Amino acid sequence: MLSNIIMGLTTAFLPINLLAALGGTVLGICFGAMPGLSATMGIAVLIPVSYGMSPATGLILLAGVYVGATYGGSISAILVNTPGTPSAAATGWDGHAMALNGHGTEALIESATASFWGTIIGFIALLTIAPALANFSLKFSTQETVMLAIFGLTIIASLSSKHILKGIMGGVIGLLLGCVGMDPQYGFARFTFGQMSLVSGLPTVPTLIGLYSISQLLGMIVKKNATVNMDDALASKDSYKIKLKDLCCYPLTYLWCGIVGVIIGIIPGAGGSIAAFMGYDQAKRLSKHPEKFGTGYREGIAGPESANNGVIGGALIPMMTLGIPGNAVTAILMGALMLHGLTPGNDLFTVKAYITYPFIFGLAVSAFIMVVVGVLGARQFAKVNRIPQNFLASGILVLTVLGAFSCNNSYADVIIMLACGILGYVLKQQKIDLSAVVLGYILGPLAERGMVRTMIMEGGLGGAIVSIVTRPICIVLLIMSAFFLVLPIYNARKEAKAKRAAN
Amino acid sequence: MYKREKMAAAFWIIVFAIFVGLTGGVNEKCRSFPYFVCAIGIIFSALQFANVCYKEKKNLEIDDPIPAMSKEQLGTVALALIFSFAYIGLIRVLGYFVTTFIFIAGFSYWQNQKQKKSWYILVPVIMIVIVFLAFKVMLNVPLPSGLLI
Repeated sequence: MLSNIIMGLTTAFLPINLLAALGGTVLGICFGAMPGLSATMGIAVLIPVSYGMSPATGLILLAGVYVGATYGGSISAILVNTPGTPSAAATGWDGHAMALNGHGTEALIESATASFWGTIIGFIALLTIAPALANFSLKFSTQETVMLAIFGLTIIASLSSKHILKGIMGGVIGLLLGCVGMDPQYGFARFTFGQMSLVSGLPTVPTLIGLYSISQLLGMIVKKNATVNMDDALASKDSYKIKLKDLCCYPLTYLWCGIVGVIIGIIPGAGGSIAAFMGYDQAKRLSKHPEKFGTGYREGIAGPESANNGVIGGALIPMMTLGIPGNAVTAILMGALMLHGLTPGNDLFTVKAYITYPFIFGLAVSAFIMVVVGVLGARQFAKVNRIPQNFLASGILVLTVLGAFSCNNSYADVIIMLACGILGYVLKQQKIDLSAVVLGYILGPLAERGMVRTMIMEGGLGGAIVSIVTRPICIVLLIMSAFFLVLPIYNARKEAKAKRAAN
Repeated sequence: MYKREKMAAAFWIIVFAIFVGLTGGVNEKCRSFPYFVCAIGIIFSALQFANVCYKEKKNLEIDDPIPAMSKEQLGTVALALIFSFAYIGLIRVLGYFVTTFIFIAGFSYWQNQKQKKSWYILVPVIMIVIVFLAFKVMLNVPLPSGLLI
């Protein structure tokens, strides 16, 4: 493992990879700073750029986008109280208050440094936990694969705690999307409507670009909300000079909230927003001055920012080791990994270690670049909001079309992307969580293949069920599935009861 | 509010029912999983429908209901999609760069006519030059092609 770490470190510091990390981070910050855009959109748009690069360089570019965009969301949250990404919402509570008090630059510096520490904690977790977990996954046979897929699907309930029924419907829609094409065991075509392009199933990257980016783009065109006017916030006078102390004001808060972010990132479906809110809460508990939170207190930025950036490393752990994407960004990153010939699992950390480790170190390199670029020029990034929305939307559409086409040099993929975009928009309008759809779409074929194989091996459904419930790993996964399924239902009932009592 | 929620649930019941019918047409060895998926889909969509009916009857509020879409918004989405499909269709005829120029100019102008006219020419040209240099020259990424450039 040590040789892989040294190799990853040296490869990540090659000039071409440093350049990719710099480009990715800067573009990521721009995407994050625009309230209508997100890290998912940034990665979707830049996937075609990564095709022309070596896999390690291409993935480092995308790692930079992920890190940059997660931080970038805080810029607009601080300056105009409009979070660029949902995970930056909690940052605005104290960040914007600081900006209103004339401490905007200080708030932006704190946001960059806290994001840096959060990313580094996530990176350390990824580097240490992921190889061990990937190695453990070698013990998985078809029964464990079935249970793992079922566990992933039960996460849907926690994803959609507000609309549990709609969340499950979304998951089932995803499962149905996963049924398109040849069945994973016998190879018979299903739901292809006579189209050859559908025989191998819905292509992962165009489908995900469609579901996430095109649907978001359509929403942006309708609402005209991609950019916000920050000119007034930028014009305010603020002559704060950076000090060395600024780079690590609250070490304990960074550490603890970063760990909280990692843990939440590992839980599929929890995501950056929950981590940020929990980070804020934890920072308040740790603080010597909890009464100052909400009034424009610097520590109120440190907590949520280190937590939402800690999610990056955490969310990559289940994606890279077990093939379960924890959120939208990791789902699309998983598609990018596959396009570069990488399949989640132990092979990533052994056979393909020469790509995986530079990618992991790419996160740390991007974090360093992010803190330098962020501390020195956060205010400049806010100016990306001056790009007129109409040119932004058309440019993004051109790049997503290019991204979908370049996957297989196929026009059919572009049509599929647009069709999935329409589906995504409809689902969003109906308040059905797209992450649930994507989990169903990715885990469906895995569950079907595992179940059919188990049934063949055990001579029927009864035998398959018995073999699943008598294996220790399966039992643990079964208990965890039951827990994650029941918990949000219990919470929803409790909340409803409390509401009724209050009324 | 309730009507839109009920319509959405009914829509998915119909979709899943159609897929039950389509599953009947595939090889019997690979029918069981889609049947299972559709059955779950119908059950939960029906539960959602019943849930909305219950809330309507009891006059309970729906958390974060489906928003209403105005005709103007629907028209905007439809036109954006028509633009996009036309863009893809025209690439095969006019070529990637010519179509991209027309698309960016037209699509941007359609969304906002208040900018300087020269911008609608300059921005597409800059965009095309960036795409050509970055993707074609530097990164060797295959671009869609047509009869023209």
